[in-house]
Amino acid sequence: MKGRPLSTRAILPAAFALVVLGGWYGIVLALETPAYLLPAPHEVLAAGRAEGAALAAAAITTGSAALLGLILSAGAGFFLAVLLAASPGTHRTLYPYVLLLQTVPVVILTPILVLWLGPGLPSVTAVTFLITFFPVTSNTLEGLRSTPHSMIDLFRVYDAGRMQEMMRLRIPWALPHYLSGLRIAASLAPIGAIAGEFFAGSGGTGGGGLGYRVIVYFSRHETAALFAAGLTACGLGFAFVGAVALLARFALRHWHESAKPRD
Amino acid sequence: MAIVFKDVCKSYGSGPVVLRIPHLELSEGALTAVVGPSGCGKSTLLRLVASLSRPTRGEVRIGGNGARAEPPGRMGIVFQDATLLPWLDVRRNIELPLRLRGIAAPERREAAREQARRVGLGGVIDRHPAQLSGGMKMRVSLARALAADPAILLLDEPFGALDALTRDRLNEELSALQERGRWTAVFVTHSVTEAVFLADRILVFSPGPGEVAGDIAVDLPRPRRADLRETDAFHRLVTRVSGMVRNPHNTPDWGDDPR
Repeated sequence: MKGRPLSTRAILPAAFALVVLGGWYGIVLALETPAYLLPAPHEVLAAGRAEGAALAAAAITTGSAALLGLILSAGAGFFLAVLLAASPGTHRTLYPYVLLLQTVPVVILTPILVLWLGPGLPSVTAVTFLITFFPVTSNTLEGLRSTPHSMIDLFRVYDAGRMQEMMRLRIPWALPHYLSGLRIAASLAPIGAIAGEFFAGSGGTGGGGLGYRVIVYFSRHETAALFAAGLTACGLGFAFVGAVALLARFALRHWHESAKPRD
Repeated sequence: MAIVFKDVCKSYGSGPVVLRIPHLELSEGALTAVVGPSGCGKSTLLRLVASLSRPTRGEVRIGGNGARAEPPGRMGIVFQDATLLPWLDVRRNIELPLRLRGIAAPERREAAREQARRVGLGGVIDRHPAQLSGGMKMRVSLARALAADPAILLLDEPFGALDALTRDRLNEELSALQERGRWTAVFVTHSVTEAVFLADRILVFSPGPGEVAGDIAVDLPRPRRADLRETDAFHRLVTRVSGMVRNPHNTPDWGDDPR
């Protein structure tokens, strides 16, 4: 892929999209599916246009909660990983509970969070955080624990303290792992926020997020609008993952093979 | 700074003894090469000197103290992989030991530039390791070890992964640096020619458990340049050491000095 112009790189995915659209039209025309089961692409487009303002506002609401939750995960998930890696004792003490928190289904935690924090942004953010912190923590922890022995030996020969070893070696070494954890978290953040909004999204300011819109469209059997909401959520997810990918590329630009000079 | 092994025995856990050195003294300012087959305890010896590992029995004294009592920052180490920090440029990599010691930025920057110049890296000081060839990475690693202003320099097969030409050139450069610096150096290698070219003394290790099977003084003249490798004296020594490495237990004891 590297080095090819954007136009060439865009051709294959665009062609695939055309094939999918053609297949979609084919099914709608051949089976004469009713619009409430499977609307045609142009009907989805029309619904998207009609609901554009509502969907955009909902995307901003959902996106804000997803972003806040992701930022919390990026910080707290990282610190938790450092704490877990700092000593075998902290790992033994805390890690089982980190796993436990990850295994409790979020749909059970969400109503509890709504009771505690009230509906709206705070509880949606909390749900997003619960869904996104684990990939950040587990990836970062793996990075912190995978520092090569020879590098640790090097630091020991130069009489580095444990703090220096953590700050100057293990944390920078874990950066690529942290960023790949963050990328997974970024793809989960809008999903977490939307799931949270099923329970908690109707309250607060600004008419509810995408999760709330989905409930509204579903109750009205507006399937085309449901599809449009789904596409909006996809767009949101792409934006999140893309932003983290850009951040990772910038942060790792010197490590990467692409930093090598080419003849 | 001399290094003395007294009744040293090393085993891991309840495993067999991997290294046994009743008595060994590495004299100050000399480069001692350690050769022998894999698993003969060469690297264990180096780790004991570096205090990365403690002897199961006995002690390793450095300059009169136990290894642990060595004042900080007086050792430099080079591993087989360059162990450069990929997120730091060449200058910051070289500065690392000084930074860990808490030396102020202007001073360590100056020291790093000086070391980079000495190993021929002056022009690439702002590059990152990903932009360097294998030989250049090893040079950075060497400059970093020298920046620590070491009394003792430990080299664990530093050029083992390089092509023969680069290896020879780095041997010549290291030899020139050694002649100026005169650190007490321990050089672990698989290559007998490298050992003969660089060392003042060669220890041949035999495996199971690792023991000193041969101790040879290298009385080749200094300074040592590339053409030394063409001389008869060099070839004779290489042949002798190679024979010992192949067959450590059947070789008569050559003593400290064959003359």
